[in-house]
Amino acid sequence: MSLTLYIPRDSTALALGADRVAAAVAAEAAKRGVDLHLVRNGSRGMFWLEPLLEVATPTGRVAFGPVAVADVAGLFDADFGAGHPLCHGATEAIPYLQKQQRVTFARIGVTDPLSLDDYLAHEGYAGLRQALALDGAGIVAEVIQSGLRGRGGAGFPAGIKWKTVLGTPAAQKYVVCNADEGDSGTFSDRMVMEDDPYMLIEGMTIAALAVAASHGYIYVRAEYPHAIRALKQAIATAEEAGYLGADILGSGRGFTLEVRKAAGAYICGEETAMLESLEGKRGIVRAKPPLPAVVGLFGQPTVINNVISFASVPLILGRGATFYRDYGVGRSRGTLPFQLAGNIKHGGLVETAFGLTLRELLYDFGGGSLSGRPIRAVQMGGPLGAYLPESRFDTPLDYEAFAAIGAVLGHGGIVAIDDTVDMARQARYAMEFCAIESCGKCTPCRIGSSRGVEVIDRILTGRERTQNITLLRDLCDTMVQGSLCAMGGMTPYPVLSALNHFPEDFGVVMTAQAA
Amino acid sequence: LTGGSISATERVVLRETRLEAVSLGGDGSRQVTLEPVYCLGQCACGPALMVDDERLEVRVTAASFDNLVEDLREVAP
Repeated sequence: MSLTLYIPRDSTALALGADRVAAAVAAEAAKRGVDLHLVRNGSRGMFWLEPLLEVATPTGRVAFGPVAVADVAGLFDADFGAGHPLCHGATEAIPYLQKQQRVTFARIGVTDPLSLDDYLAHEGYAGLRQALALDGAGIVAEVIQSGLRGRGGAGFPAGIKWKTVLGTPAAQKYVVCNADEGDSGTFSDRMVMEDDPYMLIEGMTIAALAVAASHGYIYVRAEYPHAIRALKQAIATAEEAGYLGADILGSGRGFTLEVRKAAGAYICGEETAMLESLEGKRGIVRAKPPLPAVVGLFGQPTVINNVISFASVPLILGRGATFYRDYGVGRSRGTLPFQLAGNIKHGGLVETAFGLTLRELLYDFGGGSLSGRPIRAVQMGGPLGAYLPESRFDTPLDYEAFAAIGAVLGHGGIVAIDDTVDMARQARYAMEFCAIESCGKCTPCRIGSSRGVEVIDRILTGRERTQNITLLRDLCDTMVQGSLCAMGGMTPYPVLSALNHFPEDFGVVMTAQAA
Repeated sequence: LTGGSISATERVVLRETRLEAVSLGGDGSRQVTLEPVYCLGQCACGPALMVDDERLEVRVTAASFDNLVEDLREVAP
């Protein structure tokens, strides 16, 4: 009897015991004389079901989860049948997955991340082959046509950035991937690197062909050891197979790629501070202009994009710009892999076209809060994103609709917060975070954040509350207008949104009643 | 240590503060050092912690944390 099982190697699955389950499955199969083919795939992104074990059947893969070591013998006894209490039926019919539009994440959870053969069998490197048939301008035109905007947070059109690098003459150009994923509630970059590393490599290779860059760097968080290992192994395999190196698939064009460990500071995710860090210096923000596309790494023209931006490119080239552009609404084209985190029942990865509402994500996918209490607020877009109250949950998820309510989509991370959390303390934390993480180059961010903590403390202890709230708003205005980068420039988002939407937590309502 | 669920993380951090005092006892068992970390990319299953830049633990509770520390301290250095 032959049996094909899938147990993820994604680090979240590992943290939940996937390796122990895999070992138990292998031992049980040996004991029973079963010819086991065990695939260590990526995660489907349904983390409340991890470790998720799948069995191959003639009608497709069937899911069981969360599987503990103690469940393994019983699963064999039940012959991995639908009658087992952990069975969720056909994996792709699980509503959480079925309702998604897995475009960039199409392979993730399906394939063995490190198998190049698996990658090639699932549309891998189809985009690169198309790109090799085009010149740089042709590739750039395709990316512009797709409407892809930078997925790191700023949402700047990727193709326009590439066009600038293409049009800037230089003997040496670079492609840099910002994989210093550090926004609260985010893990989509990590999943791409661990669970489909060739996709990122292919996207960066296409970028290199587009702008005539010969070398690239992936700047990865040092706290992501599994991602670093997967990338290094995938780069070595791609090089051996001729997808990277001096002569890519016999085209005569070359591109080499290396992984760099990040410095462990939030500010190093800011693109110019990241360049400083890559150059071996302390991560301090550079003034712009000049743009990194013109004067970037080591002073050379440099394409800098986030992991998800590069990861979106192979499919855009492989299937054509129109395929990608047909997803989404308004000026937000394509899909975004949203990440549900915090106090949420069904945390995980939800990729959909832009246009869904926050409420649909929180309740239809997320299943409401884990604590069972009402979701009072969400923070979207990382530690510099606004806090949104329930009255904003019907806002469609697109860049412009969020800008219109003073919020950002950022990198698509959503942290749900229930009604036990004091929002004034969250506001104080935002200021404190800025004070700790500021690179110190500009005054509004360096000094403003420390003064901000003090002012919030005075508000919270009720000292001249009204005057100090005015002062806080003034200070936030200075930080927004005067900071060099988003660190100081966006810290007021969580601070002021907490104050505006939850004034009672700042004692404002109580004061009004007392007066 | 990092947190997806803010209040839960705070509880574990409190526990950690206590542990730091304990681990300096020097009774021959392995010493455990704690360092705060901003993010481990495990937000959907926080609070999370990492042991020796390799082993990840998620959905950490005060009880599971204590068990983990006991295990770690027993391993020969």
